[in-house]
Parts: sequence; structure tokens; C-alpha cells
Amino acid sequence: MSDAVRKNAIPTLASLTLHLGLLGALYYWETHRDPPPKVVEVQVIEAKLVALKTKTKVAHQEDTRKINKVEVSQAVEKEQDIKNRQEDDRKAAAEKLAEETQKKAQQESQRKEQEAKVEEELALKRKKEEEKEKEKEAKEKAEAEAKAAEDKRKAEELAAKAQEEKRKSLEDKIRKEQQAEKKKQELLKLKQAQERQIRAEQAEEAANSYLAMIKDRIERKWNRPPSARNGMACVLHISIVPTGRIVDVEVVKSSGSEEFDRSAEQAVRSVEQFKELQGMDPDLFEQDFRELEILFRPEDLRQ
Amino acid sequence: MRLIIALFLSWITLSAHALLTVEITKGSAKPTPIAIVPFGNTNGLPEDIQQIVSADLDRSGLFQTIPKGEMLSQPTTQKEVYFRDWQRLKVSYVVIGAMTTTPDGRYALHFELYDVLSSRQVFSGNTVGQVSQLRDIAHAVSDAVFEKITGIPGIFSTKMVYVEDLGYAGPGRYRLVFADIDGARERVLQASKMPILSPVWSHRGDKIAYVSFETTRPAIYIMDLATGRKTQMTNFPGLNGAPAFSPDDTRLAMCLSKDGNPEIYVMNIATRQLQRITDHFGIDHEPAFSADGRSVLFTSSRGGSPQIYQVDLASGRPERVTFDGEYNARPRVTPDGKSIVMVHRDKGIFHIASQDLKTGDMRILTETLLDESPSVAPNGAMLLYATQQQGKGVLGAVSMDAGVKFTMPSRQGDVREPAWSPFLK
Repeated sequence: MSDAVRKNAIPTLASLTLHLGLLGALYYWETHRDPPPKVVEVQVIEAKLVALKTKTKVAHQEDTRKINKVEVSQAVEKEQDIKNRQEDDRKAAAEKLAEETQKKAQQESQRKEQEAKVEEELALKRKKEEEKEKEKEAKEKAEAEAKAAEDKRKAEELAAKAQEEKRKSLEDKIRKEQQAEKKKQELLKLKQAQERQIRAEQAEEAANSYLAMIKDRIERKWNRPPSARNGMACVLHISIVPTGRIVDVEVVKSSGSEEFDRSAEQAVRSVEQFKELQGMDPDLFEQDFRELEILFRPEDLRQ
Repeated sequence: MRLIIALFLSWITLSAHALLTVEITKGSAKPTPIAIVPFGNTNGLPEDIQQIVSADLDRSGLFQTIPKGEMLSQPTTQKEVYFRDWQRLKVSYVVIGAMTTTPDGRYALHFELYDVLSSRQVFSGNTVGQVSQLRDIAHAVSDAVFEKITGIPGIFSTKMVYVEDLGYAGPGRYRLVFADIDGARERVLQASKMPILSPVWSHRGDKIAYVSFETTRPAIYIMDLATGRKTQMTNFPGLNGAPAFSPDDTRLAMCLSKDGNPEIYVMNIATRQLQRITDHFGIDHEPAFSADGRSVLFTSSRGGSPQIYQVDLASGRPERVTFDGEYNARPRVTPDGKSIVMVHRDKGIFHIASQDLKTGDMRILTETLLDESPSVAPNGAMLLYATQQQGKGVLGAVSMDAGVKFTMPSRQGDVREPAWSPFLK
């Protein structure tokens, strides 16, 4: 469930954002597609004025640059001419000044007219810009909010990813520890098995002599009933305590003859105690002698 | 985690560790120690039941009873039995009980058998009888105890017949005697100044067949034990001897020399019709039916020395059975039909031997001199035979595994030719 959410978060957010954007664009388009005719008119005027203004300014600057250029390059050559023409120029200048003064006045009024117009246009433009700004701000706000949501999602994703990684590394660690423990245990087991084997080999001789003693003691006590026959067999389970005393005798597999079984049980019970077991290594006793199985199977009978 | 591993390891160790097994293949031939505690309310009775039971079990050779004086207590009921007392005495079993009298004046003995070593009751029973049957009550206890411990029926209630030669000339020198198997309560069935030979039991135990010279010539008789009435079965010229009942008691095998040479015949008891089953110039003697009644075993000298042969009654074809030794005679088949016992001569000495009919394995059972006339107990565990002790004929008994041997107390005269009864109802 969480996986599905996590997996689908990015596309979901993307689609949400896209939808919001589309909705915004649609809204914008819907509100600006049919602007009122008044505004269109104003726009046209505005465009003309802007173009005019820009052209005038550029032309004036170019003239100035041209004049400067002429002055610099032709200064030396035309020093004589300048003197000759100074008078003419003065006259021309006076004329020009008068002309220009007139022109200037004309221009001034024209400019003032234009300025008023420009002022008006600017106000309109400012208003529009303000509106635009507001829209932009709203859009930015929406975008910021979307971005914040996205950031939040990304942060969450990151956190989830970090947690996942943390979990994975923990699991790895546990697995490694378990493997190490297992290996340790296996080694221990192997070592114990080896030790046991060595001990068993050493103890085997001792155990065999104890077993031979037990066999002999029981055989001495076994009075077979005359109904016993070669091939009959019963198994007794006996429990011995470290003093060598037999504390429990149980027939676990009957020969089928009550008398035969009882003779076997009596043989064991009449032994009472294997005192020799007191000298036995306690480990060997615990391992092999606390519980014994005694198989009674006569082989020396005549029939 | 570690705990789980530890548990797993210990489980592995446990499951992989099979118990050591000690294999017991031999046993001892020592008698089983047993205590027969004097039974309650038996003081003043004409028979000492405790003593009879003890003697029975001792004589079997499989038990050794402890004297009354060694008993630390003499319980007569279960709650008075302290197993520790008996364990201290090293007895394996203890028998207790008490006598009561029934309203009709008979005696009833309740008795119980305990396994001392495992402290539990093995058996309890009752036996009832007249004052004249106190010995029977005792033998019934012996039989039950014997069977519960050994797994085979006791033979203490069985009987025997034997021939006694008092050794002086005169009437009643030879006696056919009937007695308990322990020799008690003997009863003379027949007394004669002339020899009595070869008594045998019918398989039902109601009749005795024997040879008597009372007419100065040997003749075969059958005596009904209940009535004491005797019937002469043969009166042929020459040898009339060695009668033997068929398993169904309808026929009698015998040795007759009426045709010139001792041969084996089978007589139908009801019709007295004779069937000759051997035809050889050698001596054929001492017949005995096989357990299935279809063949007869007998002694024959046809091979030079006496050996045992078996003849199939349908085909009439004899086959030699014994091959070991120079002399094998007087076969008797064991109750299970699997073996025969016989007189076997080894280095000039006569012994009792047994032979497995299937394998042919022969085994010498006795060590005394001049052993003869073996007769097997109905439980197949022992046999009676006649032997010599200090120049006197006595009865001996030996277990079929040769582990137990004893001789019966000497009687007045020479005792010979014992015949062990079947189980009697």
C-alpha cells in the first residue's frame, strides 16, 4: 500500500501541477481572449507612440555622432574654410537660431502634448503592469505552493528512502551477525564432535570393559526357565545411578513368554548393583551407562 | 537464538545417541531360590504341606527352597509380605497361603506367588481336597508355582508304576507298584512270586499294560486302574513281551516269537486282531508308537548290533534311526514327538541318551552305571530310569537338558522299569 503511494507520488504530483498550470493557462486565456475594444485602441496608440519616441531619440543620437566624426576627421583640412565660413555661419546660425527657437517652441508644445499622452499611457501601462504583477504574484504563489508540496513530497520520499536504507543496512548487519554466529556454532559443534570422538575412542576401551563386566554379572544371575529356547529374545531397559545401583528395570520388548521375560528381569534385579561403575568417569557414565538396554538371547541351549 | 541453537544441538546429540546394548547369551544353571512359607491354619494336619511343596520344588532341580528357620517372618496374607525381608534372604520368589475348611468338611488352600525382586504378585490360586488328598493339595501348589515360573507344566501330581523285586523267593517277591511321582503313597497293584516286567501306561492314564509270568509263561495283561481288573491279552507260545499303547489307546504294539523269531506285531485291543509289521531273521523287540501313531519304533539286531529302526505302518518299510555307537535299544518317544530316549552303550557302559529325530543329534544324559528303561515325563522336561546304587536297583531322574539329576530314595528291594504316567485328570 505505502509502496504504491510512494511509487505513484511523483507522477501524481506532476499531473497535479500540470493540471493546475493548465487550469491557470486556461483561465488566463479565457480572461484575455476577448479584451474590451477600448483597450485595443489604446494599445495601438501606445505602440505607435513608443515606436515614434524610440526613432526620434535614435536619430538625434546618430546626428550627434556624425557631427562629431566630421569635426574630428576634417578639423585640420578645414581650418581655413572655417575662418572663411565663420561669418557665413554666424549669419546662418542666427537664422538657424531663430528658426530653431520657433521650431523649439513648436516642438515644445508638441512635446508637451505628447508627454501628456505618454503620461496617460504610462498610467494605463502601470495599471496593466500592476495587474500583470498581481497575476504573476498569484501564479508565483501557486507555483511556490506547488513547489512546496513537491519539496515536501521529495523530502518525504527522501526520508522514506533513508529509512529503507537504514532498515536494509540493519537487516544486513543482523544477517551477517547470524551467519557469524552460525559459523561459530558449527565450528564449535565440529570441535565438540572431534573432542567427543577422541574422548569416545579413549573411553571405548574403558566402556567395553565395563560392558563386559555387566554382561558377565547378569549372565551369572540368569536362570533360564526350561521353557527357554535358543532364538527367544527379550529386551530390558535398565536405569542405573552413579553408585552403580540398578534403580529401574523395564521389559521394553517381550519374548512372548512371561516366564522368559521374568527370568531376564530377575537376573538384572538380582545383580542389584554394579559397584565397579563407581570408579567410572562421570562423563562416560552419563553418556553411556545411566540407561542401558539389555538383550537376552540364549545361544547355548540344547534346543 | 542461542537457546534455540543449544536446544537443537542437544536434540541432535540425544537423537543420535542410541542406547548401548548389552547382549546376554548365556545363563547359569543355578537353582532359583524360593521361600515356601508355612501355610496358615495347617498345624496339626496329617501332612506338612509346606514341606511337601518344598521337597517337590527342590527335587525338580530348578529350585532351591530356604529352610523355615531362616525366614524373618512367616506371612500368610499379602499385607504381611515385606519384600525387603525376602530380598535380604536373596530369594527370588515367595509362596504364602492359608488353609480353610469348607462347610462340607473339605480343605481349601488359598495360595499366592510373589516375585520378590520386582515386588509383585505373580499368581494366586485355590485348591480343594479331602483330608486324604492333602498331598494332592500340596502337589497342586507345586505344579502351579512350577508352571508360573518355568513356563512348563509341573509334573508333581503325576504318578508312576514300577516293578520291585524284594529279593527273596516266595509269594509277593515281585510287585507291580503304583505311586505318586515323589514315591509317596505307593500302592501294590500286583504281587507275584513270578516275575513282572515292562509296565506301560495308556495315554489316557486309566490303564497299565505289563508282562507277567504268573502262568509260568510270559503273557501280556492290561489292568484297569480304577477297578483293578486285569485282562490277559496274549497267550502265544514263546516270547510275549514289551507292550506299548498306541496314542489313541486302541492298539497295542508288542513283541511275539510265535512265528519262530521275535517280531513286532500290533494288536487291535477291541478285536484282538494281530498285524505283523516286521519280518526279519534278526531280533525285533521293544516297540513304541510314534507320536502320530502312524509308525512304530523298535530295537533290532538286523544290522549286527542292536539299533533302533522305525517302520511305517502303511508301507511296512523299516528305516534305521540310530547310527551312533554299538548299542541303542528300548526307544521311547518324547511327548512332543520330536525326540526319542533310549539305552545307549558307550565303551561298555549303559547310559540313557536322547536323539533328535530330525537332526539325528544324540546326547548322553546319564553318567551312572547300568542305566536302563527310560520313561519320559509328560511335560517332556525329565525322565525316569532305572539304575544301580550300591549294588541295588534304584530309580533315577534326569532333566532332558541333563542339568538336573537325582535318584529316588531307596525302597525295600531292587526297583526297576519305572513308567511315568501321563497328566492325569
